Amino acid sequence: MKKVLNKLEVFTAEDPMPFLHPEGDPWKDVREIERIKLEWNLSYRHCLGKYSRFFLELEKGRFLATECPNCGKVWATPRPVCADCLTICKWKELPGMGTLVSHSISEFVPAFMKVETPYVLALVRLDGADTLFAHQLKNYGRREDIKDEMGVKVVYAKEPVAHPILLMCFEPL
Amino acid sequence: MDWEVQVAGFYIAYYALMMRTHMEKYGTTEEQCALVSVKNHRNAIYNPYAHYPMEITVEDVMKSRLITSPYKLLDCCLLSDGAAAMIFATEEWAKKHCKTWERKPTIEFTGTGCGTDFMRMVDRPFPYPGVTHFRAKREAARMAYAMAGVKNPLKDFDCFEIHDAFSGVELVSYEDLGFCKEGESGPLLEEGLFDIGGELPCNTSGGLIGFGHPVGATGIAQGVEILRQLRQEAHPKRQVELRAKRGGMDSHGGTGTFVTVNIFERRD
Repeated sequence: MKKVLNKLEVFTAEDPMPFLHPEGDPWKDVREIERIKLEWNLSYRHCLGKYSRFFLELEKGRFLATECPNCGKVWATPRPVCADCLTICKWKELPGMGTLVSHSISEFVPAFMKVETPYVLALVRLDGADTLFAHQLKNYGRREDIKDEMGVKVVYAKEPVAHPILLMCFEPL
Repeated sequence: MDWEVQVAGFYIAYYALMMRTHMEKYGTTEEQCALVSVKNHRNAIYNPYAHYPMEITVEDVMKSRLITSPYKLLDCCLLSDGAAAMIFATEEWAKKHCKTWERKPTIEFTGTGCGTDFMRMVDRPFPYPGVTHFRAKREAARMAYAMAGVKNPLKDFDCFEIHDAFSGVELVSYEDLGFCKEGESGPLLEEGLFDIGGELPCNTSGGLIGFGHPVGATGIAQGVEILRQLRQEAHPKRQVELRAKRGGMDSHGGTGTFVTVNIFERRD
């Protein structure tokens, strides 16, 4: 019977710096290692603050950016305050069409992220925006079919999602 | 960051997006990136404190597991544990308190600069320098070079430690630090310009890829390496030839969000 429920393994660690120990490993008596599993769950109430309307409109299938009333710059990803001239911005709807600027295909994801691999992160210049927007590209067919400069569009989730940013993603035109 | 985690926007994916624009624009290849890893792991062999000394080939890097295109496992820096310390003092204080004063060459801290950019990479001004180059690094280098009187970085430095978070970052940094023109870093690396024995040896310690990346200690560790080089205390196989008697280091956080460049000079 398992005496320790969260025990994962017991192993012998190697000397990481054998070149410093030509006479043998001085730590050899303490190289037997037990690995256990610990969990640390954090749950909290998070406020989306001044970005909230961006997410609420995504639910309705509308993509909003912010426009600076002073210098005219259109920020998508939206910003409540223009980073160039520090003026308070106004919401502006964009058509949700754009051009792929760059993309990367990942076959790895850190353990704390709940994302399926492989996935494609896309850097998109949305029509009518002066900045870029980063999100996943889906339904791209084969990897070789993804070409920078190709047209992409925002698509909205049809099923309930775990986080409001997942209400949207990009797809090729 | 809260949104980005949801769509798996994490450091390597962002750096990969940046590098891909460089490859598209200038024709930089994955093999040229891989060569950075080969060089840095090789330099680490002669650094007894290095985390991951290795004699590898470009092919080994190319065949290692894909993480995020164009980066494979061996293109990535290490997750290391470590500590580093440097003591700065005025000449007067050092003469009084430093036991090795007179016996060791004096190294003077002659230039420093810092630059910042948007944390959210997508907000960086487009097309210049866009996401291809590090705007903050250019500014940090400009300030530090002006302070130390560096005119031609390629000739005015004997060695340089670069923040090679991923292999391609080192290539782009060569350009942003003014060692070469935009898009020339890959071919020049292939010519051996940045190897030990080359025109400007970079990451003689092994860098973040070969020496290690104990995040909070990384920048100071780069400074320690420059100090060792300028005092000629490095392993003979990794010791650079001192001509200008000047070394530099470049360290950054984020995807080049906050960058510092520091310059040290030996006074004989």
